[in-house]
Amino acid sequence: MANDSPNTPSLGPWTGADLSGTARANMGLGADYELPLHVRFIAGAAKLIRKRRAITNGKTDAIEPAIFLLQPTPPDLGAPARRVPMLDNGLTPLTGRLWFVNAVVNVGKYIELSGEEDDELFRRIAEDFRLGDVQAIVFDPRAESIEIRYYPRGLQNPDICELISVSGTDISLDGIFAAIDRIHQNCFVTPDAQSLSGKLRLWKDSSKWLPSSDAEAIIQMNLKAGLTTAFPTCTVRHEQPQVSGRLDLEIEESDPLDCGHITRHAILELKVLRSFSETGTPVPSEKTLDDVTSGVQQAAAYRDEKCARASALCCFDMRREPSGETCFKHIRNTAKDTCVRLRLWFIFATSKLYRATLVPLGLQEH
Amino acid sequence: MTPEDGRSNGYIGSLKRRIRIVMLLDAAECAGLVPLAIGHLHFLAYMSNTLAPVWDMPILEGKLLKRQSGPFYPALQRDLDHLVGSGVVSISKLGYLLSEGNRWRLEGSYHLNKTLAAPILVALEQFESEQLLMSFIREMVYAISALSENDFDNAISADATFTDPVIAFGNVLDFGEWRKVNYTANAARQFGHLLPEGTNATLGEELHFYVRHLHRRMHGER
Repeated sequence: MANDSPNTPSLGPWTGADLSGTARANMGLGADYELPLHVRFIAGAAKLIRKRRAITNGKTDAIEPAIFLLQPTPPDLGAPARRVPMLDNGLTPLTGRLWFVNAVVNVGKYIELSGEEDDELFRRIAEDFRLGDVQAIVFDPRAESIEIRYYPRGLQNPDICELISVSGTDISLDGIFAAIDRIHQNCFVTPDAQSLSGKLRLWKDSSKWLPSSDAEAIIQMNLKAGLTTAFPTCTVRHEQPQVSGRLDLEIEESDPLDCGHITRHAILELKVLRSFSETGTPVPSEKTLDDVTSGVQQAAAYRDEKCARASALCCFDMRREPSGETCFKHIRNTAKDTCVRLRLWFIFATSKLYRATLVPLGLQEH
Repeated sequence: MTPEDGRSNGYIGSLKRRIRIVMLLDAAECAGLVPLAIGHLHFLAYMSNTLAPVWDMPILEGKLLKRQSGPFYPALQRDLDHLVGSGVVSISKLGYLLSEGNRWRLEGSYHLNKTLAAPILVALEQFESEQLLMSFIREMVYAISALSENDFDNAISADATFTDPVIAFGNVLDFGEWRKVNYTANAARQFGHLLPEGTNATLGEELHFYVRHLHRRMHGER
C-alpha cells in the first residue's frame, strides 16, 4: 500500500501512506480545473447523480426533482439550509431537495422541497427566493430517460434549457463527432463564431489566412470544454504522456462505484492543417499529408497503449482552399486497417466564404 | 518573489499579504465557505503557502511558528485588520478568544465587501501571474471546502508538514526558507503518478487528493 520509492521526495509523517488508494477513490476530482465554471457545474452534478443512482439503484430516494443552484451560499430562506460535506461521494439522497452548490459540486447545502408542481417550484425559487437568474440544473427521476436539464439563465428563463444525458452509456465516435460538429459550429467555423478574444483567437490575420501559432491548443481546450458538456459523466483529459508520445484528448469514464476503474471511450488526435504559418511562410502540401499520416499512426498507437475502445484523427482545416477530405486519400486504407476514424472540419477565414459554401447547399442562414 | 519579500513588513510585503487575503476570501466565497472564521482563514493562508510549489506558485511565507492552536500569521492578521478598517473586508460574529499565552484575541468571521473588492479582483486579473495564483487558490479552497466544519477545524492536525515530529510546538516550522522540506507539497506531487493505468493526475486533482487524504488521516487511516 505504501507509495514511496527510493526516488520519492520525503513525505515525513506521511511516509508509507496509502496515497494510491486515495487517488484511485477520487479519480477525476479536480481534473477539470481549467474548464469554465458552468461546464464544471454540469459535469459535477451529472457525475454526482450517476453515482447516487448507482449506489441506490435509483430505488430508495424520493421520486421528486432535485434542483441544483450554482450559488454555494444560500440567501436567508427562513430556515437554515443543511450542509453536506463531500457531497460527491453519493451517500446523501439528492431528490426532493433544493441544493446550493459550488461549481465543483463537492459540498452542498439543501432545503427540503415540499412536493410542489414544477411551475410552482420555479416560481418560488425565482420570486420568493429571488434566485431566478442563478444557473440551475434539474434532475427529475420521474422522467423516462436519465437526463438533466441545464438552465444557463436560471429558472426564470425556463425555455432556455439544455437536455443532457447522464446515463453514461454508449459513448461512440459518432456521438463524439456530433458533439464536435456543434462545437465547431458554435466556436470555430468563422471568425464571427469565435467569441474568443486576444490571445485566444484562432487567426492571427484571417484576411491573409494566417492561423495563430496557438490554434491547436485553442481548439483542444474548446473541444475539452465542449466534450465535457456533451458527456458530463466522463473526464476529458488532454496532453497525457505516453511511451509513444503525448496524446491530444482522451475521453474516459469512471465506474460510479469504483472511480479507479476506468472505461476509455476514445482517443482523439488533433491536427490543424494550414496554408501558412503564423509568420506567413507557406506550408507545403507534403507537410500536410505527412501530418495526417503521423496523426493516424499516433491515434492507433495511443489507443492500443491506453486500451481505449476507439480512436480518431480530427483535422481542423484552416487552409485557403477547402479541398474536402482529399488530404485523407493517401492514408484511408491504413486508417481503415488500424480502425482509426477520420474526420475533417473546415474553419473559414471569413464569414463571407462560409456563406458562399452554404448557398449551393440551400443552407444559407437567415 | 522570495519568502523574504513576503515576510517583509514593508509596503510591498504588506501589499502582497493583502492581495493574498482578498484572493482567499474571494475563493472562499466561490466555494461556499463565507463568512470565514479567523482560524480557517489562517489555515487557508498556510495551505496556500505549503501547496504553492505544486502549482509553481510563489510561497508568501515560508515558515511559521508551530502553535498548538494551528497556523497564525501576525503580519497577515494586521493586514486583515487594515482591510476591515478600509471596508474591503467585512467582519461578523465578532468576539474575543483567550489564545495561547493567555492573551485575548479578537475573533470573528470574514467576507469580502463585494463593492470594494470587485475592482481589486478585476485589476488583479489583468496580470497573468495573478490570474494563475487566483486559479491555484480557488482550486485549493474548492478542495478544502469539501471538509465538514469539524474536519476544517482539525485538518491541521493531519497535515504532512505541520505534524512533522521533528519540530516541536513553540519552534519554527520552515518549509520554504532555509530548510526547504515541504512534506505537504511532496505528498501532493506524489499523487500525480499514482492514478491507475498510467494516467497522470492534473494539478487540480493533486490538490483535491491531498485534501481527501487529509480527511482519511483525520479519521484514523494512514
